[in-house]
Amino acid sequence: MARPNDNHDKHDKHGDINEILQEVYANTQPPGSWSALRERIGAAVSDRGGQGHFERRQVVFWRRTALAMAACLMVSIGLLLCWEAPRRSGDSPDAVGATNGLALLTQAQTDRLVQAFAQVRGLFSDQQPWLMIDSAGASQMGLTLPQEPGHREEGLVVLRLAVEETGREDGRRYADLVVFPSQEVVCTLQTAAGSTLELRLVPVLGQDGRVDIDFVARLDGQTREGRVTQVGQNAFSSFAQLRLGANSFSLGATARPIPPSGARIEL
Amino acid sequence: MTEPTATREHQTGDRQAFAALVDRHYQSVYRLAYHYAGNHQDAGDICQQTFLIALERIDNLRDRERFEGWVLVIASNLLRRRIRHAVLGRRWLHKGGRDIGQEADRAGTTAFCDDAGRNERAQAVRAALQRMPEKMRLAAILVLMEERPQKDVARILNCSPATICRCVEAARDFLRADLRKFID
Repeated sequence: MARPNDNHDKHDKHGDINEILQEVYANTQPPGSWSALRERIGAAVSDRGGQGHFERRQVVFWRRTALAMAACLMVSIGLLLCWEAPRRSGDSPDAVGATNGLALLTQAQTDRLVQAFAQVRGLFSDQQPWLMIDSAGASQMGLTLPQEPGHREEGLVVLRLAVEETGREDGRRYADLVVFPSQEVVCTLQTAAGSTLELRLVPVLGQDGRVDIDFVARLDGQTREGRVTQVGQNAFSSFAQLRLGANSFSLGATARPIPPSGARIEL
Repeated sequence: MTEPTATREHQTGDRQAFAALVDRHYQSVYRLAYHYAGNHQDAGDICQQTFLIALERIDNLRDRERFEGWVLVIASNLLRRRIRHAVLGRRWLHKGGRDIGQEADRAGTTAFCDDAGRNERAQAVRAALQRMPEKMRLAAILVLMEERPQKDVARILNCSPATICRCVEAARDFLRADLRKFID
């Protein structure tokens, strides 16, 4: 049971506590003086607001805008580089000659070769010419007899060969080979490392206009042979892997048939 | 110049008006910071930072009547953040059981408190406040020391008046137990 004086005592004690706290509160002051603290705050405020905090906020706004724009620009450039790099690195067969300035055949040259090759074949009693130009500017030509005497196939096939040496940035070599369909060609190709790759190729034109290639590839005593079917026109079809020491060579090709009329085709 | 007028005039670009607001409130902000943080160095820093933040954000203040409460909200938020950082830092750095800042501060307090009994009471109050939980400490400072209405303090601390009432009662009991020798 509470005593009548309990509440009164409690208030007295509250009063004592409050009195102590308020006395402590009232006597609280900075170690220097109030005016020193006021000056410190005033100096900080005028320093921050000296140029006018409205102008400062505008500066902050424009700075953030500039940073955001710079970030967008960086991302755009990054995306552009990611998109452009594969094209420039020669993954696209169409871009190899034109973009990289390599000595490969142009469209106009190929058109003229159709007529020239037909005339050469007539001049040399059915012996069929072939021509290869590689990206280093070297060229090879030859004449071969048809595999089936008396059998003549019209039109031409342009093979674009790619030899890639893994582990080397400049490891790609290209060559354009112009041959008649079903004509056997034996040629050599220099790799970026200076090795000589010997190739025996026979492009076979299918009914659907697609080209298969019978091949034998030799490098330093190693031989790979086989047939790669339906060689791509717009992307390199890989057909052989060879090793020489620690280096690995990958062979790829595109094949485009040219009709006898010499009509323009995309190269 | 009244507080709403000063706030409005500052918002319209009058820089002197903000100085008037600082003049009016910097002492209460400092006292709150000192009793919460327990040392003058932190209190001075918090006081300065509070008004810098207020300067930057005053355009967002819609209710001009509440400048003082708004500034105290800024200060209490800064204090909570600072104390948490200090506690983390001290756990990492301080292993000897003696806080250099507190020691230096004791010397500073002695310098301006001429009366020995008053100085002892001030140190006891500060020590008791430092042992309280955060919310109870803020409620004790704002209600018991500054004599603000509990309703206003509830708004500053973003909690219900009933919570503040409980915190104040608990703080009073805590302080009564801790400061018994001064009451007796």
